[in-house]
Amino acid sequence: MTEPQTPALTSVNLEGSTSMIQVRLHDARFGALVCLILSVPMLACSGSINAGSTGGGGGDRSGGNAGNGNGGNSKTGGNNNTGGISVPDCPTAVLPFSFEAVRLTDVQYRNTISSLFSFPIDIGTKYPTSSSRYAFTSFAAANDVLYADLQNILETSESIALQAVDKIAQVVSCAPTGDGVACARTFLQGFLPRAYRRPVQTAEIDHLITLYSAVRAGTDPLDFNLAIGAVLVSVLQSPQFLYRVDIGTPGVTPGLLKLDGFEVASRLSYLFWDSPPDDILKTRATKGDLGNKDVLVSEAERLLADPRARTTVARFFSEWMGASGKVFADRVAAPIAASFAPEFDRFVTDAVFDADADIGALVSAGHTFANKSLQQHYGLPVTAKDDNDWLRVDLPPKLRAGVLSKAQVAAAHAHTGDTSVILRGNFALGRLTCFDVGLPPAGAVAMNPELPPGSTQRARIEARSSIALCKSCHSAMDWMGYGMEDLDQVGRIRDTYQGNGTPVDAAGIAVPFDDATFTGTAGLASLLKANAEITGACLATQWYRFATAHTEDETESQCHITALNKAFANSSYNLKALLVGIARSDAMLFRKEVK
Amino acid sequence: MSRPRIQSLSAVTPGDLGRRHFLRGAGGAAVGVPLLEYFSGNAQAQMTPPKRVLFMTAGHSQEPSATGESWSPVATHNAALPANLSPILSPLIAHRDRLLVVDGIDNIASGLQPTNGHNGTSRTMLSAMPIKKALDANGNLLAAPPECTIGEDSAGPSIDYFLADAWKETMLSLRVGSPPDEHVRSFRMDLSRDLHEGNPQTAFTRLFQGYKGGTLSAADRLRGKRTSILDNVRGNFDRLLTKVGGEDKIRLQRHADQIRQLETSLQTVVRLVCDNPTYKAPQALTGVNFNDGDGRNDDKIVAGQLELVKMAFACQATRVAHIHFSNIQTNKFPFLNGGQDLFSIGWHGIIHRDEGTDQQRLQTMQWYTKVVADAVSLFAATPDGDKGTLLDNTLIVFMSSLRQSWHGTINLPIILAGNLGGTLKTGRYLKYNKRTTGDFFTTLLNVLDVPAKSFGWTTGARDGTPFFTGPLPGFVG
Repeated sequence: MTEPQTPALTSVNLEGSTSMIQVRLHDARFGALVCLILSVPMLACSGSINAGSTGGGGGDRSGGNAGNGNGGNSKTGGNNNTGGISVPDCPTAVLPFSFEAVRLTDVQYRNTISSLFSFPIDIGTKYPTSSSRYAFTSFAAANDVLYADLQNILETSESIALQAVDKIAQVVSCAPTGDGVACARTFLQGFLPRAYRRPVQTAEIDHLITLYSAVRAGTDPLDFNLAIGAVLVSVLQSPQFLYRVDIGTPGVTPGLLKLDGFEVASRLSYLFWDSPPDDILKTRATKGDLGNKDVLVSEAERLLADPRARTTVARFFSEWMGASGKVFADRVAAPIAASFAPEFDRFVTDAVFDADADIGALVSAGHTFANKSLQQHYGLPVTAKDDNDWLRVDLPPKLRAGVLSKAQVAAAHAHTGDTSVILRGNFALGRLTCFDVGLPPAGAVAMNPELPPGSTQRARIEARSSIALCKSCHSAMDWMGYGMEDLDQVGRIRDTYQGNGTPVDAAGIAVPFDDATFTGTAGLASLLKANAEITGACLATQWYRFATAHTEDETESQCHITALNKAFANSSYNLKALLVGIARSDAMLFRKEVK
Repeated sequence: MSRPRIQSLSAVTPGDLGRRHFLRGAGGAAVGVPLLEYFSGNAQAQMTPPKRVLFMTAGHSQEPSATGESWSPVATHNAALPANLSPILSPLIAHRDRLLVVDGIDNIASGLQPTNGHNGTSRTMLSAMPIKKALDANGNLLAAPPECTIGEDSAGPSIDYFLADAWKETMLSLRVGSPPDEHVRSFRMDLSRDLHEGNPQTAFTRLFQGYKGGTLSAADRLRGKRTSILDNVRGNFDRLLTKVGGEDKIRLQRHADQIRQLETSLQTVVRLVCDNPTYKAPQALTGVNFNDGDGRNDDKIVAGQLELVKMAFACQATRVAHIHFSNIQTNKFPFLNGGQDLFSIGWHGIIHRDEGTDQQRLQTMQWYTKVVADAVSLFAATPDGDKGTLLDNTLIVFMSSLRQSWHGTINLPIILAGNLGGTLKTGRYLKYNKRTTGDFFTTLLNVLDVPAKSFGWTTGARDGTPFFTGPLPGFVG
């Protein structure tokens, strides 16, 4: 009950919703049904699968008809034979989707600054990083600017400007004469469109020329070079540079704004490359090609084929797994800890880009990429020469669980010194099946039963589950987590629990899969693969969230995510098809008009 | 643009006896100072050193074992502190006569809205106010306030910022640990949250920026144009704000408003009374991660921060500082265990007595009171004024947001050190009954010469305890 919270993942259980599958949590230990749609919201575990409307909606899944689309009350439920996916009518005209202004993330900022100068810039470490408290670091809310960040952004801007002033000949191509205004203007005509990632208006240049002239006068008048520096400090703090803001223009559909080519170009390039649009995209934007979805798809394929996409795509999968940016040097020797994240990245990028894999392989593959330290860590035959020698190796049965059994993932949802049934269970439910149990209710922590020191994790959890308030959610989480107990807190197979040496009991129950029983992480992987219509819909939801920088509303779930998921299903859940598929989404071309 | 504010006006420095004054302006350029002539060295030395306050706040409970009291020195109200204090307070034994240990102060504002164990208890701790969203447009409490989540802010400023504002000082805002999310405690006068600065070197540069003995560098000259530049940036925000709506407008408007606030803060002018202020941490901080949630270098970091506070107070760059202990989850305390992590699981679980031993809990809780003892020792060794020390003119206020291991905010742990030039009679234990943080902070403001009649939420009562009664009787002694 004291586990970290992920607010953005919380999904409220909407009674009567047609887009979600209402799930009744079973009290797995006693086999009795506990309906969690309670009248007191504080007590309700908001268990719901909110992942692209895999079923027709409204259907009670207790009968075992998971994902067959036979729920019956969606407009077209079951009529489209798309591998179990039913697609409701979604006229573009009425879709209320949003895509908020989002500050450049740390990596986007670095890539964008690099694109502006022909020489390396030391950006330092003050630029605010994204909050990891949201589902993805791409989220607008994860990049909100707090007052404490402002001075850091100011100082970073000043540092960059001073580096540019030091190499002014490589920044400004003209030679200033007189008051230098003409040359400053020439500089801005070239620089500003690159900084703002779009053509600029004369008034925008005039505004900066006003600053230029002001700092050349006054009590300590600056020379031309330093005055250009002052202009740079302003540009680098301005929202036109610092944020990705889509303005759009009203079109034929009331309430819907159509993005211009440059806005679409930025959406695509920052999504796949974390970088501003390249010349090809800018040319297409200028020519007006980017309103055409076929062009968008071909551009997405082009961007995805570039090595830069590997980094971004690996980060998406890593953030999806809740495993991004963590180093477990306090649990294993430094060379091993340093190999965890690269292993994960190699596995997923190989799956997406080289093996052209589907979701089944992603969640249940029996291989990995390991260097010498990792081979030793996993207890595999050591065939790698050293830690720079990464080899594709087959894994023993208990580790044949794709991303799930990667050390980085196993460690991310465990404590330093031991596993955590709750963390793993909550992770597997929320991230792999989009079954969100929400946050602990108010007062939950105070009710945490106190047990003698040395009590086993299972004893603690069972004591907790004896409390009605806790049981409703914890029965789903804990039983999912029990089944993953065969991997220790750094992803190694373990047969006995640490400390007391008793045999590991990795019998689990997966509530989202109709209470299917399984044993071990690999057993869960098999279930995830076998239930691709649920796992796939969840992954499509996650990719949509990552790409659009927000958590969808219900209509988006019904329409955009369902459409994305339909294409994903039609490709037999090919991962690359999912990534490219977002380019065909209206969410990339339009935004909601907000008064 | 507000008028530049003259901050500290008097006193001498430790050691190098200030005979010069510096101003910290909007940037590097030294600001012309007509007032300088008012303060010749002799005039200063005759002045009484001003009062200062260092807040040190933590977020952990103080119950290392399920049975038995480990914090209170077990004495009656207004009694002299016993020689052995209490288990958690034992690191302060040498300073017993310099302390006031205060019991019976409740944070009942935390109960004005639903919350988990930390979000609400921390946000109300120093403000004695509910969260903004608990109030309607007229400032009245909603019948069913929403839960206090990580995104919420207090409806009132925290005592540190309130005091800094009343004194027209810059709050020296420091943090030991990762930027707080659940444990946000400080709110500025505009009610924006403060995440504090972890790196004392950075905090030094910001507080003392502008003092340059010689010619100005290009960086100084560029900084000197900050006001013009930030004006220009706000113009770009205004241009964009006309084109966006909804969440975008809210987000960008907030950013623009904060820039205006930053501009205002850069106008602050600081008068220093020491020559050539330089900062050097007692233990090298090279390579230290100031955002480390595991707190492996928290001992070095806080030592560096205390050194900075000492210097800032002695130079009178400011009179209000706050060291915010933000790590509460995964602290490892290797510095208490010969360099090895004291435990492998998160401290949070240990505090809640899910794991770990009573001895481990006591050991970690004693570390915080040891840091208070370090602050007392440091200030007591720093000259201030003609013949006194910094401790003579400084009040150290240690508080934690929790007392009970179940996240209880009743009877908050509070230690005060320093007698404010004889204003407070120290060496006493004060045991109040059902008084509130509002009463306590009002009392503090009064002894710090801020004539406040109340602080925080004053209406009504909770569980029989009025939110506000008045200053605490017998506090001064």
